[in-house]
Amino acid sequence: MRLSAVLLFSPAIALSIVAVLYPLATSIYISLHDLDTTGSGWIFVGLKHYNEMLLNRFFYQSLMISVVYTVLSVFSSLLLGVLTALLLRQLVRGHRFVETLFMIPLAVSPILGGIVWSPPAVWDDLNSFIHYAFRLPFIDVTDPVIYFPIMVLSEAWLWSPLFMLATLVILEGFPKDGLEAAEAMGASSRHILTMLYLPAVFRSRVIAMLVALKSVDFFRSFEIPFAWSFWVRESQLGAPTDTLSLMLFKMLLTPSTGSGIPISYISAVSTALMAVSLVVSLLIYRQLARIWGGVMG
Amino acid sequence: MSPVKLLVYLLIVALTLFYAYPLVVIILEGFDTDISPIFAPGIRLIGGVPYYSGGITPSLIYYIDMFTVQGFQKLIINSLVIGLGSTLIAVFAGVFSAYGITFYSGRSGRLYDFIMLVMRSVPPFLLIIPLLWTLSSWGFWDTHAGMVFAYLTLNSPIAYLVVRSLMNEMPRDLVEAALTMGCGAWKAIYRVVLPLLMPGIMVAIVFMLVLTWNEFLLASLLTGPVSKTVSVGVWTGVGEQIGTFRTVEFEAQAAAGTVALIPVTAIILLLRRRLVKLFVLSTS
Repeated sequence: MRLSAVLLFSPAIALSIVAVLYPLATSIYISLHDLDTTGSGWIFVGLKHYNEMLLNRFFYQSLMISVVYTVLSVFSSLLLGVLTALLLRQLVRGHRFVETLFMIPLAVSPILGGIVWSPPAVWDDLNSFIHYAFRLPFIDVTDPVIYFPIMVLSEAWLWSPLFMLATLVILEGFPKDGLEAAEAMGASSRHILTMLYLPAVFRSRVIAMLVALKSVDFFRSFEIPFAWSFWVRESQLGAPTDTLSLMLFKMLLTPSTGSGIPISYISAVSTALMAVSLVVSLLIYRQLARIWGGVMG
Repeated sequence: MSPVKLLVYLLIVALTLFYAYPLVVIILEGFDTDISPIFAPGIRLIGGVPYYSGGITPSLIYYIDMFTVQGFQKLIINSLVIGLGSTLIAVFAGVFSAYGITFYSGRSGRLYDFIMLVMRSVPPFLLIIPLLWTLSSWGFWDTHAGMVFAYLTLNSPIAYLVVRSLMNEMPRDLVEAALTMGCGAWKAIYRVVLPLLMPGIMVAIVFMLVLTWNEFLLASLLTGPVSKTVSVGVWTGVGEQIGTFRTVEFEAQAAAGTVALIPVTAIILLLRRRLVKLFVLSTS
């Protein structure tokens, strides 16, 4: 019977290993080789492309952009989500309706997230409004100082509802006894917020995991920067929109003259990106567990 | 009304504007033949360039164009075929491998869990080069089968992790009792495990359908005219592809985006708070 069971589940395991490990192994293989232009196949070049990466200024610039983008996006979605949830709980009526309304951005695909916050959608309206109502100058969304925060804001718009839902789940599971005890002992609503609710939210395992998950996701985020690089006409390498993923995308679709598409280099960078995001996610996991006192397996 | 209450309501109104306004704009723009803003006709900036606009002129032209000339319904079918294909295969494989790992493996199961967890954090970009290379050399570029395979690499770790944690929460005794009473492994899955986990599995399937429906990066590079998916169609709208970037008609994007948004919104509103659990489950 044991053998039949092994026979039963081994094809499934084999399938998933092929589906996930094959592309990964191929990518690592390509990153260590060069495609021979004479057509004789792949030549082993060792860590050449990783070395190239470490000498490339576009790589460092994109890395910086990705890190800043990730940090800002995680903080803004977390804070916005928690704030929204706390405000929602103050509502006496219409609580469910407003929650439903705020949840809709979760249905928006990231690429559509790059469209709904684009200059022709929101900012032209806003510009005409402030111009005709207050006689203020137009906001120039083609300025990196303006559009970078807008990109972050779009990410927060897309993902803060997830943090809002998580916060609502946590607060609704908050033990009634603790609340009643605090009220009986004369705690003001401000005390209840700062000493009961907020610690409960920020120490929860759910929030910690969502933060870890979204950090990794934002670090490799592609769609919104891609959409914005189109809106503000930043198609060349080294633009302020270039997160690591977008830099690789531009390298893939706009080949440099002479050498063709640098697929080995792209593979090297994406392998490194994967290693970094893996390490970062494990570290965040551990750190959050330690700092926030949650128990994680 | 106390000042605190007033502040709460003001903030909620501001948040409602923040969350709802971009969606309202996108929906309205799809029905509007004029370039951009809804308020105040006049001269304004579009991408830094001054433009004249005449406010709103309602029209169905973008929707008619989308479903006749552009054949958007074909993209919807493509997305459904590819999404359902890869999701169902991933869940099928996930159920069997999670069953095997949960009930038959000892400590080696932890290793498989870890591999899947690693795979969950693979950046899609890492998959692009191997997939482009493999699919095109085997003649599977821009085919439904190729896209199903591509999304399998993204979906199978999620399916496995979700089903695995469902199985961990399930009472083991039931399966063990079935096995002791002479049930084969296949029968145990079919008669005991699946009925118990079905609600959870259905939710997971729907969740992964949403993820594949919304996926853009892989679809934009691995599909062409034959198997183009909805999210690629939302971005390309109408217009010519010129190198990396292309001309675009914003209203066409808005109309396509609205259509793509409707089914997903329905699903998200059905899932509601289960979403939190799904996102967390797929990482734990």
